[in-house]
Amino acid sequence: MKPPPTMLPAILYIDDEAMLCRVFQRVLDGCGAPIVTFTDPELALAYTREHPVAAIVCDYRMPALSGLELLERLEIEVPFVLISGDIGIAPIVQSNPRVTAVLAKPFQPEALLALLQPYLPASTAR
Amino acid sequence: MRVVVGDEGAGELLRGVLHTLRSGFAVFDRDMRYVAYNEAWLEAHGLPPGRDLLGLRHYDVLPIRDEWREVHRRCLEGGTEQRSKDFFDRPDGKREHLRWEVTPWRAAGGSIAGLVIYAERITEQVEAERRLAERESMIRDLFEQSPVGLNLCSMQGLWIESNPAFLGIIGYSQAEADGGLTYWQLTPRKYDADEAIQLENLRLHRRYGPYEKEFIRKDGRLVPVRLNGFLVERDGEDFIWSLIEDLTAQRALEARLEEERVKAIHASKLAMMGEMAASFAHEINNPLEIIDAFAYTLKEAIAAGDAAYLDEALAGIRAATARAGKIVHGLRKFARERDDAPTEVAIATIVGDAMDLCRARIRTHGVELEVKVETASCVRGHAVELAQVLVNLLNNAFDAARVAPDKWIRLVAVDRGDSVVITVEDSGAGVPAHLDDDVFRPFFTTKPVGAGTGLGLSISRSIIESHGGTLTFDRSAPHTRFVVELSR
Repeated sequence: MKPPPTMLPAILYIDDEAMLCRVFQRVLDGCGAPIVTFTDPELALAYTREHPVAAIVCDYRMPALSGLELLERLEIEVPFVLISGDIGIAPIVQSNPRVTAVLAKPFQPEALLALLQPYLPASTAR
Repeated sequence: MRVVVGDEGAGELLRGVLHTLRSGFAVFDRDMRYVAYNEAWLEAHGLPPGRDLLGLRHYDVLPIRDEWREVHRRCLEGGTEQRSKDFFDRPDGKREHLRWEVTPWRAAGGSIAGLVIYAERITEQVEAERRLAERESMIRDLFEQSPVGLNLCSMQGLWIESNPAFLGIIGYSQAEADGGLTYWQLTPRKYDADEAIQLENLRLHRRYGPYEKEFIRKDGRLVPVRLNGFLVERDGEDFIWSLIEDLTAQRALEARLEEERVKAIHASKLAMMGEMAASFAHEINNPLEIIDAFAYTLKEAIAAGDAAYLDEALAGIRAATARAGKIVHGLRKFARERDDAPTEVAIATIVGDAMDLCRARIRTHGVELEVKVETASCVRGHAVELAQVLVNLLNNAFDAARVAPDKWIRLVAVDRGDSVVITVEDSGAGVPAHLDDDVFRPFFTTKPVGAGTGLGLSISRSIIESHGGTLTFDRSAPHTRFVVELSR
């Protein structure tokens, strides 16, 4: 995790797959908000206590902590997009009002960008 | 027979002699009144010992059949008659078998003065003969009716006696079997070594078998049989009695059961794959996402001439493709029906195949997985079935460990003497002590309804046992530990 250059609210991308963190850093780059990625959900939680956050994109199935467990421990209210490679998790999260949207992998990057669009600084959105 | 009575003294002497005879003997006058008789006569006719019959008429004392009265009449006219086997129904209802002879005796002047009847009891002999005949017919019936083939052959293999069941098994007629057919003509050469062992058994123990082999039927078909036999001596020469069971039906049944067993194993495997489907999807969907996201970023990277990123993206795409491909290959390998013939397969391969399917699932749920393969051994068998056992054990371990506070699974494969031992251990709550043996029972499950078929362990045990090994639950271990032992 590299601290963002400014204290603009960041988009957090959390997934235990390092490769997905790497590529979504690139996908989201230039969307107007700083992108911070985490493979360790604990570090992501720690980040949310210190820094402003615009939105969180979080994997559901992670070894240490599931996306829903992370949400449980999240102390801030923020748009929360749950992404998952598992099948059939939609019913589990539908009843959770804190989940903004669920994206099933594989989804098109455009779909994620569209979901995040409302929460990006309008002036800098590409 | 001719009896001559002289004076009174001679009569006394005759009576004395009569009483020592073991055969019944009586002398009558022309009117069939008793003149003399002995004790054996009384006994033969069921009369009490010492009964005084003198002067009494024969027909008043005993129920004499008309047929016998005719004999008496004819003999009083000078004839002599005898029967070697006849019967007499005593007044007490018992039937005695008798051999008799009736002959006239003559007075001093030569005229017929009466009859002498000699009656020997042969009841015991007749009974013995009857029993012998019964026994013979019983043995003949057994021989003829037995569903088991029976055969007597010489030490050289020449067939002496063959029952219908045996003829049915080999498809030859009685005449053909008796006409010089030998054991060796009907025995395929591939049994030569086994035959030598059975002959050695005969020599040492005078018995052989149970011995399973085939006979070549007259129609050329091979018929599976089980033989048991023993030596008998006839006129100082040894012969072999053999009992031959036709195993055709049994073999067909065994083949059908084996087919059903293999089907059940396959069905259980598919059910297990269904339970694992979510994690397979996860393992395919993540790489797909990586590929699509990389592809999304490429256009801009190409426009920007970012060569370093292009390299990274292409490598990432290839790695993700390989990863998804590995799961697909693993699934295809695992899902296929088993090969007919067993092969030599390395333990490392079996463990590797099982791990390919289970590793990601276990790790993405935060369960620590330790795999130690400290053997280069091979076992003979069906690789897919053996991997299925490990997948089953790993799945059970996973279900137990994922809900435990401390989450780990350990798989260790080591050589132990002539065996290779694979243990699968987990940190889960374990099997309650009273359920030790139950876990291998079909349909036994501790999982919630719908979460398991309850067939996994019973099918796993059946697979390992069909490979000549054992699958046990190690109660002595501090954690849940299943142990697979196979000959290497």
